[in-house]
Amino acid sequence: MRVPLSWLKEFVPLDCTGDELAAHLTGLGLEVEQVLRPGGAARGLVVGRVVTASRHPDADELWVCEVDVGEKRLTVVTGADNAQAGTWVVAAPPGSRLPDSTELGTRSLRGIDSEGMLCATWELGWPSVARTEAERMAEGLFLLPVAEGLRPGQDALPLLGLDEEVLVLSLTPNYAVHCQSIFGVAREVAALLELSLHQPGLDGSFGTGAGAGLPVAAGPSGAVAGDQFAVDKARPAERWAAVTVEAPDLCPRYVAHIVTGITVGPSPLLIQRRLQACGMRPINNIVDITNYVLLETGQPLHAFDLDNLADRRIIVRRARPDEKIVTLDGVTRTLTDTELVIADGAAAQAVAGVMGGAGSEVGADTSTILLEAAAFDRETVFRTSRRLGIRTEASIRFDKGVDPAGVWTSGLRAATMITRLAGGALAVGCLDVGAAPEPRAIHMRPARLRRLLRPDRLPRGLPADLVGDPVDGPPAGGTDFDPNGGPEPDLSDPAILTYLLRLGFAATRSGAETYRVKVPSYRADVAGEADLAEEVGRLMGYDRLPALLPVGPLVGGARTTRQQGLLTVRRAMAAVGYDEVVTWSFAHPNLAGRLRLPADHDQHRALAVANPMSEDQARLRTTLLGGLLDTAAYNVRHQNEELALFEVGTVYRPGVAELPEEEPRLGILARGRRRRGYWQGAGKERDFFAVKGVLEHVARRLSAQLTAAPIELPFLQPGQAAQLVHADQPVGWLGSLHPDVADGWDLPGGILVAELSLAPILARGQVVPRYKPLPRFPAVQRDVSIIVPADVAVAQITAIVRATAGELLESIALFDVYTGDQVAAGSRSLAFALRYRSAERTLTDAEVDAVHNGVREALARQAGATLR
Amino acid sequence: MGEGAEGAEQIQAIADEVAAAQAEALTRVSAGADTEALEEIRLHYLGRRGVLGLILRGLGRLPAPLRPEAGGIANAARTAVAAAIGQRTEMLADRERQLRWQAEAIDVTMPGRPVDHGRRHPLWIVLEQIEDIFLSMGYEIAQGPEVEFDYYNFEALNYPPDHPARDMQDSFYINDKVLLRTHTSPVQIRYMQAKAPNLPVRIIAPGRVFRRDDDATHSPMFHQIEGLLVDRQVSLADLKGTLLTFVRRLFGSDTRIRLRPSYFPFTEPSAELDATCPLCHGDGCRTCGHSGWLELLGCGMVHPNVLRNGGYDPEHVSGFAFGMGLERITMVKFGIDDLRLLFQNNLRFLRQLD
Repeated sequence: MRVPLSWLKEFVPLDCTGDELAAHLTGLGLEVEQVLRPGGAARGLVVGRVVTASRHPDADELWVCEVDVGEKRLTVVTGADNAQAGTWVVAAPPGSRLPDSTELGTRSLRGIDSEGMLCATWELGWPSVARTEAERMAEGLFLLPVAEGLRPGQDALPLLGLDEEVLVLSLTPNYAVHCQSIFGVAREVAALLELSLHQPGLDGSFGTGAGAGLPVAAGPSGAVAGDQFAVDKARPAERWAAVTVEAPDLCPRYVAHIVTGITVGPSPLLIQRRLQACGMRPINNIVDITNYVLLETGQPLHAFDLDNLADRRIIVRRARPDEKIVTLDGVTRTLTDTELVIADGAAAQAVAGVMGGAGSEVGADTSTILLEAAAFDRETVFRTSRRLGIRTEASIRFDKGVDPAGVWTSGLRAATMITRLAGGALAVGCLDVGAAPEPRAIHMRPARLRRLLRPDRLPRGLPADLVGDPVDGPPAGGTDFDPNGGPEPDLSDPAILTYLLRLGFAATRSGAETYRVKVPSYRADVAGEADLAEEVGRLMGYDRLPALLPVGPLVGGARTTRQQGLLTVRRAMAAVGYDEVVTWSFAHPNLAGRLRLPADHDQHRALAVANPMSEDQARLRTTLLGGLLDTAAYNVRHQNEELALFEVGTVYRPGVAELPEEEPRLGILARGRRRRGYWQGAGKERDFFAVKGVLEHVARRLSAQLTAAPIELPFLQPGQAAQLVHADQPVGWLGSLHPDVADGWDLPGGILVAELSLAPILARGQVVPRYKPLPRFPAVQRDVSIIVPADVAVAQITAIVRATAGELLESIALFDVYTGDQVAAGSRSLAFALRYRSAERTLTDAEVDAVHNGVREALARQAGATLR
Repeated sequence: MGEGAEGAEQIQAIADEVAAAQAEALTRVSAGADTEALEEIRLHYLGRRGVLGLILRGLGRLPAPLRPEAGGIANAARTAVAAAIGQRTEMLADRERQLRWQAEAIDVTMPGRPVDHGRRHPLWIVLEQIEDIFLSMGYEIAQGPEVEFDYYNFEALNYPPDHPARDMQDSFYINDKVLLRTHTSPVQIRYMQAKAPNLPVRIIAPGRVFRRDDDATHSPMFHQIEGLLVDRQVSLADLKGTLLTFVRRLFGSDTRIRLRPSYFPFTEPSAELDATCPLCHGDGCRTCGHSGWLELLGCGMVHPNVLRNGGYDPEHVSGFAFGMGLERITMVKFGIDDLRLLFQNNLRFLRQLD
């Protein structure tokens, strides 16, 4: 929301700059995003009167104007069609400067020298309401309304409000009801700074506060508006029209004023420029006044052309199913029967609280209006405005709730302003259905407010040596916080009551230590003692509270087994040279296809996001592989080709429950060499066994053991794929990425990928290893070298060896593998080192030979091995 | 006496022979070029069949009374030659070692062999620091689902239905009841419901959250750390002290804070915490928008309705809660100026920070 400072000053006698005010408001909880100075660098802009305007002899789209700027006349060429003789314009003569710093000079346009330029609305630095270039062009020049005292050559800056400061507020929803208006902000400022507050006049007066200072009273056709508003006592409102509220649950209050005999025209400059400063476009005096009062009081208003309302009736009712209405923006809207409309005797004329209808819009020939001020059900407006995708200045206020006590006063204020500025007379009385609800009352215990803000248990603030990091020395005190110093805030009963009173709350004693606090009608957000504590706190300033530490039993904080396990995995992976990445939880719907995932893979039934921002984010991942491949592809594109990546992340597995199973996994992607380009030579190319070793290492860090068995997975290269098994359960896979999948990501060959479910492995937690006595007797080493068919797995051979050798075998290690010239095709040569040891005695050669020969025979018999 | 004279002659002859051999040996030793040559000289003079050895063995032919004297002469020569060889050998060995070392000298300025060391992601580095700070203050780490019921994400946290407060967090929905949580605050409810009526509740809840927002400063997926403390006597002043302690541990002991009133449906009173910018120490820089202050986190006293929904009676207990964005704190901590870097995983970026 935007707040022009001069407008604010009409209600509160402020004496500070925009920046100072911004600091005050931010301290109250009304965050100020920025302070705009619409005038920017503007200099030397003057009021001009167009004396003559003629077509440019050489260009149909241009006009040549003679403009009276006081001491002289300028010849100015312009493209705008509304620069007609007799109009008053803003001229930027040579040497002047526009708000955006453009310096004006004299330049030739199709052979005619143009002395500076005439200004369009958007060129004057107001927040533009035109969204497109075409809209900007259509606006044409900014025309000054004719007014008394306007003279050529006059300084245009104050007249245009270009010496104004405008605060841009970013309001949280709780402050919307009472602060989403100029007057609401003024009320807050008055409470904080203890200043007097002037109410918006119910007699239609405006622009009277400090800082107004420009001709405001320009009515249509130069007529000066009356000092008094006119009342038609002959025909009271109820004889002009009738109001029926058929849905009182959705419309607790509806007030209609009737103004007759009006003349529609432009509104006074002050109103126009304030609307523009607030980001609204001036339309005509009637619409502008409803918007002006809306911005001023926060109460949305709507003017209907009474002559276009069938039967001169207003019926507030639920829409009929599929009822159609053409809204002011020219779009045909279809409504549902839970939505509220303002209808006449025949059809819907407005979507209540959201947007008016085209059928009863105020136009140039409107002479009688019905001015609506109402309170609509907040939730209904919220839902309707979102369903229709319409957000208007009215709907953003209604959907947060308006001040029910402001309905009638705002309506009356707008009606009286209209009679002053558009002529006509206000029909005496009004059509008023419903009533403002009783104000809420809160049972308040000041002791409880104190307990929420600052307990009495310690006399002073936190000791300085508890606050600072002892390594870095004691904390530096400051003006913003001093742990031991500063006056303690006064939170006595009288102090609390005074704070509340300043904010409009009325308190009466209701018991020894309790009060009944009446909440102002505009504070729907305040419902309990906690809210009152906030009111006191924010007015007092949170910075005045001391900093304490909570009192309670000493409890040691520690990570759970699972949390510690996940941390162990991350640290172990980094320790063995893998870089940690963080990838998206989202996945593209075609991920399962791109990855060639098997038909039973979770990703085929991955959870779908109903309203994703892009297709890339339309599913939730059930594997970490997609994110790792994206990361690899990104890095390869950016010339990082040696990759050792891991992610510990969550996958979302759809199941039978309403929420998916969220499972932590370790994903790995590796390719290339370590230390590539190092002068002593790079490390070995990462291969299947490099990654397998890393996985085995991580599992050991968690006191778990992984085994691998061959498997076929469509996204892994056949013959280089393994299933990972833990405690007889499959827990993941490892292998070389299938070249077709790699191609899909534009990745080079030689990529290893793996994924491991961590939950089953973390379940046990890290087991503390138990000490075993060191061996007392020497080991005997025997090697065995065999040639076996290529399809005999090493795991089979070690199993045979272990089974045959029995308990004397301490260890077996594969130390050589050979295929080639010396070995027949389809076979391979394997060499193992076997260590034999007894815990009771030194083994003799004869003993070892007996066992070892048994091993050799078993290998020949059971594995078809040829012994070498 | 003839015998005596003959004996003297014989001794003299041996002495001369020995002296000649010794002189010759010493000359050769001093000319010996390397340890190998000296070994040859040693064998030649001192070996079993060497010159001095033969002389010694020849003494056997002398009459017995002469042998001790002649033996003394020969042994003295032997010792002298051995000593000279020893000295010379040592000198040469030393020189040879020097030469070898000269040849083996390396360029110590050449780069060392890179150690295989992976980098932790900056988000997790900072998260671990934050966790450790709160663990040291006696907090536990709690977790909740990222795909969450609307009830826990909004309703139980006191969000009115169909209220613009929900617009503060535009959500990704799975269906009418289930969404991607927009903040870590639902963990407050889940934890309290599991723990009530026991006290104290003292947790932080880090985790992944999602909002329909994607621009230079917003990512549809990001991370938050929630904090919740519920006990018999908890006040806004306690929250202030807790956060001050936290911020000083994280950014340094000269950090100052300020609380500004704000709004969250699940806290009342609510506040935003600003901290002096750790990059410029409050002087104003690009990161803090030249204000010297950084908006760091939202916080407040747990709303009575939220306590009730968690299973606690707000008449008897109170609590504070806070929530911070991990990305923001990480960016401040490392001076990162572009949020997207955190999710691009460019290895050149990751390797700068750990």
